[in-house]
Amino acid sequence: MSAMLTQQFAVVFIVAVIAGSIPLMLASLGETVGEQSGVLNLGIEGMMLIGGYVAFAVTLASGSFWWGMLAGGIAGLACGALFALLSVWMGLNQIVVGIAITLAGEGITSVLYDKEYSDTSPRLGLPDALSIPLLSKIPAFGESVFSQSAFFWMALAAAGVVAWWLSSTNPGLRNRAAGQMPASLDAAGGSVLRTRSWAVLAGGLFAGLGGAYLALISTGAFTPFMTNGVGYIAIIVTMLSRGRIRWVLVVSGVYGLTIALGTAMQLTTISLPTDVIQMFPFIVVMAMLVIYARGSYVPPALGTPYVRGAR
Amino acid sequence: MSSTRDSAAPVVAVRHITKRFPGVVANSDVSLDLYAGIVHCLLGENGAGKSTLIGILAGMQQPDEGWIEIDGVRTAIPNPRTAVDQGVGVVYQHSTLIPTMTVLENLMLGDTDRFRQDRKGALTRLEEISELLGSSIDPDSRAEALGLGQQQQVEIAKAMWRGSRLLILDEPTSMLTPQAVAKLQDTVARLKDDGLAVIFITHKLREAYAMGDEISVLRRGVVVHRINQAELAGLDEQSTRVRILTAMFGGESGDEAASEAAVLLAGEPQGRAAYAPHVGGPVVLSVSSASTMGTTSDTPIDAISLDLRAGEILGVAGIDGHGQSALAEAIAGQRGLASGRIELSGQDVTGQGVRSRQKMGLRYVTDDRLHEGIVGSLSVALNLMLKQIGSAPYWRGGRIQRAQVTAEAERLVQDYEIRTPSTTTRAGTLSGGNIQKLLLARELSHGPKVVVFHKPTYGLDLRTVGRVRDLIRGFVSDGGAALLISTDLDELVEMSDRIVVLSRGQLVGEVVNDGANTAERIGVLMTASTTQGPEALDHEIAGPLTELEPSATRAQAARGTGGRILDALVRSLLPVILALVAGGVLLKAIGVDPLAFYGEVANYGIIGNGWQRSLILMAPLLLVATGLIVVFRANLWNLGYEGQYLLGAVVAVGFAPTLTTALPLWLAFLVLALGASLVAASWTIVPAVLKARYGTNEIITTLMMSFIAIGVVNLLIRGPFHADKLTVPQTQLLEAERMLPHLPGTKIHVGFLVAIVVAVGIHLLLTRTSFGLRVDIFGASPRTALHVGIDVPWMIVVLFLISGALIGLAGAVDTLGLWGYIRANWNPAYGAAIMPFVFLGRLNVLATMPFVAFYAVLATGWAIASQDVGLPVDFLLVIIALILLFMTLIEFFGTRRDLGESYIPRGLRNAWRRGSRSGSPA
Repeated sequence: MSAMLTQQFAVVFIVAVIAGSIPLMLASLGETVGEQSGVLNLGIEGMMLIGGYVAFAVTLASGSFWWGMLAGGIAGLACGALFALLSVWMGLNQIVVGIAITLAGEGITSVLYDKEYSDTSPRLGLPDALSIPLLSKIPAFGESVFSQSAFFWMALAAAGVVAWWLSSTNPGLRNRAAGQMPASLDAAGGSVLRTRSWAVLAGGLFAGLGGAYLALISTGAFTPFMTNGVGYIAIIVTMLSRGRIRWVLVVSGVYGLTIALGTAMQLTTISLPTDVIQMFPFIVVMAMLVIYARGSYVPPALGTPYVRGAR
Repeated sequence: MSSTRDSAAPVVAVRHITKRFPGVVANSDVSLDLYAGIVHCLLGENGAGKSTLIGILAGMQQPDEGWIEIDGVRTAIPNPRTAVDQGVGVVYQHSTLIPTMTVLENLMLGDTDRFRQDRKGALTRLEEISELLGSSIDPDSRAEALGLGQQQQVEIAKAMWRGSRLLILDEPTSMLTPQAVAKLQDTVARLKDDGLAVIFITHKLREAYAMGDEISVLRRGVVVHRINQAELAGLDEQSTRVRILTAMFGGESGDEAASEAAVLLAGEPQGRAAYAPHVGGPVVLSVSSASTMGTTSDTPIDAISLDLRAGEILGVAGIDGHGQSALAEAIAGQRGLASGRIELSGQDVTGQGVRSRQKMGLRYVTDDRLHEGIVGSLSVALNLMLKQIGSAPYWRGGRIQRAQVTAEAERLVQDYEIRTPSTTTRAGTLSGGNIQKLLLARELSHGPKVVVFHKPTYGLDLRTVGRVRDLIRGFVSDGGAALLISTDLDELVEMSDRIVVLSRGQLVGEVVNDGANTAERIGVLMTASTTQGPEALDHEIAGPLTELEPSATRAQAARGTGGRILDALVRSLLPVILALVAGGVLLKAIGVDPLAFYGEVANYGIIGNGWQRSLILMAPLLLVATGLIVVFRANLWNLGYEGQYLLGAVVAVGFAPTLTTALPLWLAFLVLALGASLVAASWTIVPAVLKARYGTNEIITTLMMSFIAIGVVNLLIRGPFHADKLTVPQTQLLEAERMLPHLPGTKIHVGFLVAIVVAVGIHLLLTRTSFGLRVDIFGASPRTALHVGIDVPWMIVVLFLISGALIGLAGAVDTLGLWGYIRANWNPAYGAAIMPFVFLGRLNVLATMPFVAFYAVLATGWAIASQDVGLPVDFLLVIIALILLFMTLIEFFGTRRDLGESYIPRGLRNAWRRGSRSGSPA
């Protein structure tokens, strides 16, 4: 009986780690691409909310998580396009535009949710689990890691693709150059604006997907303001991982652990106020920032619009 | 002069190119023919239009008139990519290599067509080019690990990466040692033999004669002289020089400055006319085994020792980026020492700050004139007084004494021949040369004994160069001591008594300047130890491009004051109006009649008791706005307002039930307000210290602290402050008679008055005192702040504390005056709502007040009106977001069309560029 309990506990714990990590990881992937190209996206929180809301609405309407995910990604992409237009092409202040997009995202999703769903508060079921033969028989891990939905594996694959893209392709190289020394990229015949636009679009897409994952899979419903700072934490993850995707995975995983610890505590006899549990990830992230204050890094050209010829 | 060209047509031909910038004609009807296998030298002093011409050939700029022919075909070069495709490669004067990337990665940036990186192909290509250049480069070493000569070879490889027909070398020798110049000469000769057309830009006649097959001289945008291949072959060096000098300075030959300029241009080191070792003079500056800490962007100095005597010029030679900044800043006190000591006239000043060293007669003329030396937005007079802020007789009791300041400024403008319309002109509108004279006037007045000159003539026109050198000589002959840090060997040889050589942060040797091959001896020292020297940072200079910028500002100043105020008003109100219109469209979309709704909002916000409710709401809003202004003016972002407000609120209302019974009411309120301010202020300490010490981005840290604060507040409400008999998580309700008293005859509590008084007080502090001026200087440029002796870390912490205290006070005033209790998870989100209005008020507390009042009415009315139509209150967030968006949009079109002033101080736009030397794009 007690063995059962421990195993069940382990399964719940691991599932909670994954549910906490993946939305943050997705958002951080996008933010990493953006920051590496020299664009700081403070609107990521709003983009996640919009992605999450749209994904939720579409999933409810179509009954398919796939359509929901896709719609969430597209909604994020649209936000990214707006951000690219304002901040990259027009060179508007990235911080102000970012804050505006976050506020707008919070306001719009909250108003829409209130109008459409506040009476019924609908919830979604679980997406189909993709049980992997043999591996899913491993105790604890089988029922958690190897029984996740296809989206989990796609998220991990996306991390691999982004890592490969940044390190081994010419567009990835140009992306880094745009954040390090945009004038140099320009002189070499690359387009700073185009490079950064792609990066911002990718950032929007991943923020939308992150929000969608959070609403559809991690939570099973959308609620106003549900990101609760995950978008900002994604910026910290990016700063701490210095453009290396494996560190994005590690730091997101640590965040997921803190979330899971909170959930786990509720299952045990230790009673901890939910306020403490909610604060916990922020305290951990802040502590990491304090400890690694010297190690956090942003590209030299971050936040500065590129104007040809201006030195 | 190898090949002949009689039969061949030019590979690239420049035809009648004219390019104008506001107020300047950079190129006027310039034509050039460039042939394969010919090195074409382009000569001219700074600002003659060489860089513009290169920019046009490289596709960075478009000509206003004229065209370019490639292989006889008229070809437009609309962007750098076309230039690369057409085989025009450029090696710029400043490195374009990305220091953190490998050589191969830097080169592969040119592979714009492929998706996957082709490492193998790139290695093969590099090998081909290396063979052609006659050099070997490690493809996997990072660009920053290469010496300057090697970097230049990589730059040439980069320019030729996709196959080049025309190679442009823009002043390639300006930072090289004589040995590296010889290597470059060899490379250019090989490329020429391979059939490449080369443009070689220089201002050294010697090099032009040695390397060029043809010579063109540019002067004020016009080609004033040409020597073709046949002619040049028949001339000896001396007669070539005479012809070129006549071309460059003809008609002004009687002018003393011109002849001096001619000497400078000739690149002939003269040596000091009367060399005398000043062994007798007392040592005034003594540096012993001084080392600094490394930063990411700069080379630290390592165990440097030197003595400087009165009446002597000690030159510091070295390749740019080898620790010059660290040395200068360590001596000036802007950078702390990790070990070692610094003595001024025998007194240990290692632990002293910038200001106390200034008082002892130490001055520093910085190389970064625009972003460290001056604050462009302040007047010439204030810039001349930048290092006297707060001290008598120019300031008394924190207030500026205008008469004294103006008199002193006018004297200095006269003495140093600073050409400026008046002392109230903004310093940023002056030309580079006049800015440098301003700096010299500031540093050489008020009793200097030891002056560090860092690249004092860099990027200046030749006349000003002469004037600056005279000033330095004059200062030394009056018994001063000068440390001259320069990357220009000729300058060092001409000016210095002794020259020490700096390499990778260490002094590697000393040369007594006795006129015997000094430059060559220094060159040997420089190369001996710098095969793997660090990357030279791309320094910002006051070049011709930056000098063009002011004309726009001048045009602005020409407009009347009334017009400017109108502009400002329009620009401030327009975003609000547009946001309300756009919000109305959205309202319509979700089925609410916008006009009726806005009518209701105004109705509930003003009519009846509405205005009183609005004024009550204004109290916390104004305090939050003031708190934001304090940090924003200093270019710092405090986005932790939500947490700070709630902490203040919970402390005040949580302790109120006990304190208001235990103490007299007024004392209880005072204690509660102070306590709330203190707690909220303390919440900013971690972000402030992280920012001050490590430059950690405060946007993110304040946000994180805010989330933590919200958790702490909820814990307090559910725990110690939980009202005894209630199940709802909230604090005990404060009875009406124990809340803040109302103003007679109204429902408005005295908190409103408190807010107004505090806001006005902060306004006076920010605008009328030397403290406020220091905040503005710090906001405009943290580097200038450091340079003029402002204690930057202290300032960051103090401003964050003030900001947090004000926002905490807002929480106290709001809960003690209006609510009487708070619930868990309650958050009025004042900060985010008020932020756009703070910018619309241009970070001026008084100007922000009407906006705060407007928002108070809007929010008050909105809360009630939206209930009537069943609209969530969060819709107001959308309106705020729209205001922010329209504000930035209008900002965009405003700067495009040069309307009025920006909402956002220039420095703020670059809040993220930590550690970088450069400021915003001009």
